[in-house]
Amino acid sequence: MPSVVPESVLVGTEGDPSPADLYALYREERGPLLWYLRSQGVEEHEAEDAIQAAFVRLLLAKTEVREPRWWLRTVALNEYRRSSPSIPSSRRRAVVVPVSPADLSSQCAATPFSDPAELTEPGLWAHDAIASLPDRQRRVMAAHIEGRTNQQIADDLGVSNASVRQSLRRARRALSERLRTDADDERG
Amino acid sequence: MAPWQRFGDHDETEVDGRVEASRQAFIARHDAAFDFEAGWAEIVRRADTTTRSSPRLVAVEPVDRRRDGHAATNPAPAVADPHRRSGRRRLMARVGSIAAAAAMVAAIVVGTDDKAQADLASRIANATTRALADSIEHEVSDWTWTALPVDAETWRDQTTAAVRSLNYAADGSGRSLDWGPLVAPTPDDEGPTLGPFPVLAVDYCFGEYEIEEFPVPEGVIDVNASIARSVAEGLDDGSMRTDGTEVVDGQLLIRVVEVGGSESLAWYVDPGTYRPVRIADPVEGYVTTIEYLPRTPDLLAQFTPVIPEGLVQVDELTRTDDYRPCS
Repeated sequence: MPSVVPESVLVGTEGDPSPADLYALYREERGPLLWYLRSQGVEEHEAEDAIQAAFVRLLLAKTEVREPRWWLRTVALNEYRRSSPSIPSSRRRAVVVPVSPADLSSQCAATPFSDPAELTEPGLWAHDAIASLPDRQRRVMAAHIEGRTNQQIADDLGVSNASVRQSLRRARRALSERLRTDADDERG
Repeated sequence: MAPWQRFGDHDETEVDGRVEASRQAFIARHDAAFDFEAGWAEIVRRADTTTRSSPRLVAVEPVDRRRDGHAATNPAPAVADPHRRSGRRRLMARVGSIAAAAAMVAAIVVGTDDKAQADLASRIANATTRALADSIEHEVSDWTWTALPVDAETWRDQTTAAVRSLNYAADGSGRSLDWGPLVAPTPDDEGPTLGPFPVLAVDYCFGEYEIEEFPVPEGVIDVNASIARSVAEGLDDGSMRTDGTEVVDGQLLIRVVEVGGSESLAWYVDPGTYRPVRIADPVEGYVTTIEYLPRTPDLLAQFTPVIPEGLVQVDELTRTDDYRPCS
């Protein structure tokens, strides 16, 4: 199916997208947005609230929203961080406590899969795995999977292109290790 | 053999493919069970009951925080190297006793002995963490991987996560883009603030400036963008390791590399302070040097860029990226 997401969404000025356009955007982007927030360690009910808040803000936006896909992700994540009283204000930037690769295996083994059979199908594996990564790697890997280029990620995070590549390498290594651990667990 | 049992070799494409397959399955599962019409109706209802607010903009007067009062006409930041060339960066080269440094390093780096490596890594990680605790990390970059070589300086306040970024024009004509918070951090600030907050972008090439809400769009500035911190973390978690020594611009430095990473990419640590002072990748074409500046009120005040006389405020800068040359 061809993408219905426009390159640019204009709200509140001449050339407004129609309600049908925005609804189509919602239909197309809600699922990926939910996955993105879950990959950042956001619980599902909190992610649902954040998605609603992000789309409300999109409806009310008065200025041009470039890259609406990424706009929605960053706004939704910030909405979650603002609304979450469980995260002290000074820590809202780091939702999940970073873990070292040395600790990763034990954490992976403790990850609550609702159904062990999910390991045998490409089910809910990825967002849990990414959510268990250290903060920087989690954000870089999720953005990479969402199609952001290394330079775009670098610009988003205020880091160097080299730092993004480094974080990606580390994230892939950790995910690879987790895949191996999960496979071992499945074999029993 | 289950598909993921092949991932032990850390194949990037396969790891990405496995993640993407899982992502698509997650999306399909949730989309199939979700009532989109009801969800959208709720969003429209909430939008109808929410007060519209204008974007938060702050009136701007030309900023001059330098003590000498010449910032408007001579906006060079006091923290910049006064001997800096306008085009290619003169690489930082300390003049020191190589022999003394070599002896020091030799006493620490004993071949490939695991314990010596671990001790050195731990010493670097601890020294770097201490150095960053109350510092401003100043990075000076020579980039050649862009279409044209571009230099840049970045100051990162490790306490507030405030960042000032100053890009130089590739043609050597001076400043290109200056970017930083509209309200500078102060010594009393205790931690990073969640945005959005106004930042000032001054474009010397096009003679204009803008105030925008940052993060754009509501992303985050990452204090961990610190290169030095990434070295400390890498050595601490074992993803980086020391790799002997190398004389760089006349200075003996400890090499740090990523385990299993690029062969051309290396970080360099000063054996006298155990702090990272350089990252370089000759294949990719960049060199960044690092210094650790005290978090003084004067320096923090200069995180806000200066607007030279004659520049015009615009809603959106003409340029589309930081690397565009002036000409």
